[in-house]
Amino acid sequence: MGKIDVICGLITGAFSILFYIGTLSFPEMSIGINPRAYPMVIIAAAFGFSLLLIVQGALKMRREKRHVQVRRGETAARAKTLPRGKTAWYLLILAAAMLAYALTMEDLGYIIVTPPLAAMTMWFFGERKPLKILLVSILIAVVLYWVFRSAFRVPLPRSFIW
Amino acid sequence: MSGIVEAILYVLAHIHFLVIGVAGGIIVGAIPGLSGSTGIILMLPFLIYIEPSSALIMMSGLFCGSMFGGSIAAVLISTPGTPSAAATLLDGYPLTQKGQAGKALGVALVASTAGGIISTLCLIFLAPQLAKIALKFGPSEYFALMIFGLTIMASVSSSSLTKGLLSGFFGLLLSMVGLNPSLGTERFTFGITRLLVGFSTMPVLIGLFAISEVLSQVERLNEGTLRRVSSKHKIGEILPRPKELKGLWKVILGSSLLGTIIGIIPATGGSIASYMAYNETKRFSKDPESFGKGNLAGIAAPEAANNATTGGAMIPLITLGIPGDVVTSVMLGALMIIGVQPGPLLFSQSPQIVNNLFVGFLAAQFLMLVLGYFSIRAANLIFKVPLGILYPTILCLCLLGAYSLGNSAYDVLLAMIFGVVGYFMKKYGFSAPSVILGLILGPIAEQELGRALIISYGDWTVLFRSPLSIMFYVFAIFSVIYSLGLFKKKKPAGR
Repeated sequence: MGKIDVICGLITGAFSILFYIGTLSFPEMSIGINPRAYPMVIIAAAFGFSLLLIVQGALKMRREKRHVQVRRGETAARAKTLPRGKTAWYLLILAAAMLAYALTMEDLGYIIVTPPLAAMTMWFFGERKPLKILLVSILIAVVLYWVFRSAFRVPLPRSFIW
Repeated sequence: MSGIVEAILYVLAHIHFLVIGVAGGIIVGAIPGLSGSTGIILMLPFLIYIEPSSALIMMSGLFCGSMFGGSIAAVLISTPGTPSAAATLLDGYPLTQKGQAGKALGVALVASTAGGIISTLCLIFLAPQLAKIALKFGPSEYFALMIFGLTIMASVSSSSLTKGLLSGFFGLLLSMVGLNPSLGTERFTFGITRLLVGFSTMPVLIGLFAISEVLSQVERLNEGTLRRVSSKHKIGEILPRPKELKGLWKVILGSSLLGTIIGIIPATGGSIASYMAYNETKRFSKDPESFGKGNLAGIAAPEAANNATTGGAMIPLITLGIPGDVVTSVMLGALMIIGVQPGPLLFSQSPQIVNNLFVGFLAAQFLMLVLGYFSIRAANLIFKVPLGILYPTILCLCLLGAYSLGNSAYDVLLAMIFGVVGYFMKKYGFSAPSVILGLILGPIAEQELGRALIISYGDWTVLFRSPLSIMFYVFAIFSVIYSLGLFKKKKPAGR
């Protein structure tokens, strides 16, 4: 967990530095608030807390190495590490499927891209009957399409079939 | 007076929204893992297409319903549906084991309704007075108020104060992306044209709260830490007898008042109120040994208190525009999405919305009594919703919700990115509500700071001249100290 804190601190610290670089191009102003003042306070605080998290993480790592602090058994420790094995693959595939969904929905149409995503999610949640997956995933897409298109008049992206 | 009559007629004409809100709240509250804030996110795609007043009463109904819904899972399966119901299971589950689940849920329902009614009355009578005071605020007072509001991000953090504050500052950083409010020049867009409009609240909310939850549940299911729950216990007789209620009225009244006061204080919430009410009731009880073994007062106290926080938490939200707890911070985001800007001006510019809210909030309590009764009867069915249907529907609804606000696939992409970010934040102890607070309150704080400094020709002391501003800074300091105290208490427990 200490290592994770250090990594998170480094990521947020890098994020703060990126924002600091962004302030360098700000124009100067003679009246009211300097456009750099407010962002700099936020960036400095974010950077400060990132450093604090890195220090806390490093101290935690030292304690973990010495086995001084025993946390709620192995299960809890494992839960805080990055997902592995089948779970990691499921999460990666689901994230990739959502990304593909977002990138293709305007070209392929809502009614085409939704059932595969719903079916995949059903599979990840333990559904194994192909017919049930097929019918439910199509039903989810059609019901949501009908509700948003007809009731709320949302112009959902249409496909070549519908 | 005519405003109230109009509001009653409005609520009666739009009662279906309230029914959906309360019923939806009871269901999401009863399902462990989903809470009132998730419920509001799931309703967001629909809320943006209905009138602001209807959306507001629907959210209020959901807020109240979810508080009671949490007790169903707590009493029947010893797993609180929401954190606020954690104290309810202490005496609720022992009664279920004795075959009196119906009675435990009946008492929870009556106490929740009473708590809700008392806190709604406080909302109706206190909010307009507070709004009158808030109308006298200038930019420096507003800035101080926003600073106070931002200190809430310390206390809504779950595991670590540093991570909670860092999450809040992450939200503040995100809030600065787009256009500078004073100059109108672009900033932190890094050459990406899409970022000129900044980060819309809707996809960020949907991603951080709902999509991240779907990803977490996939992980929990595959790691074997997500177990299907169902109660094999019989519900039995539901409504408590008049004699039993007579013995509980003092507990219900006291806990409701305590809950309302705690709800008004920003950065608190239902879980603190319910534990405090439980402890106080046990302390003043003639029979403290019976607590934890199925004492009805041990159910009535936390349930009255946690439902009473709903009306209390709405007071700072609608009068000052600062949320009282996690659910109201999500509600604040939702209100802004549907075009309602909470704050004192709401009372003068849109008094009918306020009246509709008051009447709707009160009606929600009575509706909860009716729908709650039927939900107790159907309680076991709620736990039978297959995960394989529930979560795919949630995911598709969320992505569609993200799309529908701006009719843009870019928002779907944003929701997905924030879903992944939210999953890691949740996993490693960062706080999603803090990000939302930073994202919503940050721009208001910056705008008011800019105004105050323009009026004072750049004199920073203007921020500390008004007694009201100083009062808010003192509150902010107390809020941080209180959060530090909370974390000190949490640490030994964690160890």
